[in-house]
Amino acid sequence: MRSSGESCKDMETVASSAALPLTCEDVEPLLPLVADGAIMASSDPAVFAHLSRCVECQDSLARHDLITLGLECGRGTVCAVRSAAAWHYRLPWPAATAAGLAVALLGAWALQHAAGGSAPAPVLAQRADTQVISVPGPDPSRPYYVVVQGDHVSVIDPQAVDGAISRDSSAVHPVMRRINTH
Amino acid sequence: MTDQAANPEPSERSTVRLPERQASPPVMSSTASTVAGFVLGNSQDEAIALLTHEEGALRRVMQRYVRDASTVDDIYQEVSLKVLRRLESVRDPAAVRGWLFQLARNACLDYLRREDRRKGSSNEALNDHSAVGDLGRSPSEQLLSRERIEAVQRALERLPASQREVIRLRIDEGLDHEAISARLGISRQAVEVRLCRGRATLKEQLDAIIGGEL
Repeated sequence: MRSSGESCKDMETVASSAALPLTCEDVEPLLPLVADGAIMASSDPAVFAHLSRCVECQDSLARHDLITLGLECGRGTVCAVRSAAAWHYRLPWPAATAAGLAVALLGAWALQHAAGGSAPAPVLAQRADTQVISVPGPDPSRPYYVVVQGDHVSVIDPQAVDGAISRDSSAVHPVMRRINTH
Repeated sequence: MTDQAANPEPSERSTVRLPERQASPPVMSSTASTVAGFVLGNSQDEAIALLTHEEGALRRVMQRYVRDASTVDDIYQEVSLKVLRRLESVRDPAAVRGWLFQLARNACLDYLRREDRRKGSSNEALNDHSAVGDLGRSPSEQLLSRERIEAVQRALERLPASQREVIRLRIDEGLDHEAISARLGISRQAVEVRLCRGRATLKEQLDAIIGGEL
């Protein structure tokens, strides 16, 4: 495989010779621009004619496409993977305490539910990219709340928010305000 | 080489950053042409014949993006409908297979993006991508694991600033090449070279991570 520098070096030359049947060597340097959407079947039919019959170039293009999807996921918009990853990402405030508490609480919750299968954590409220999830605390009558906001995970003691939190979606606002102050 | 700014809706150019999703049917002067051993005469029967002939190839393309068989079936049906509706305007035999390939690929990418949005908004992803092993997971799932997203992001950070900036403007802000050229005060060709080199380097990094499996 050629290096990226060599691949792009002759890009214009390759593109201008599209009237001839293209080889893998011709097409490979163009695949980044195919993945980018700059080269399409309507504009460069020879490139796509080659792609339609070349398994190797199809594989290579698929990888370029997957990189695009990965970059899109990384840009902070709604993305399933980012949502999943939020559980494992950095914790922003009193990090050590919050992290330890979150792990302990979630672990306790998981153990409690192990016998019953893998039920999802109860989501009390959700707005945009913020979720409030209830997890049992030391006192069964007083659950803690885990707030997942983007990449940030925080644990809230209900008493710490002046009792404003409840199992009501409207109660997410004071939690959000509190999170935003940290 | 054309830019996706060829999109006839200029208002979307600055906001829609995704590659062109609608494959335009290739057009030539001939009205009936031989493709893959039979004649295209602009009828649904011929579209069905074409689909029958190309089904295996189309499914193999789709399986590069989506490994689940039932999902491939769904996407194949979606592509078949598009072919039936739009094949009438296809008159270039040399371009038909490339057009089909683009339809199949775009349908897969659209599906993956839809799924991502759906899972992102319904919390279904909480358990989907955090598994340790890759066995049995689709290529996109393999890539779109937390580890691999982070790997792609790290690779992006290691790119030369000039290449990284162009990719970010393209991906994050959705600027087309012309707009990036104006923003950075460089030629459009320079934009494409930086984009091309940056993406090629990212792919080399990805190749190193996932090896020969796809």
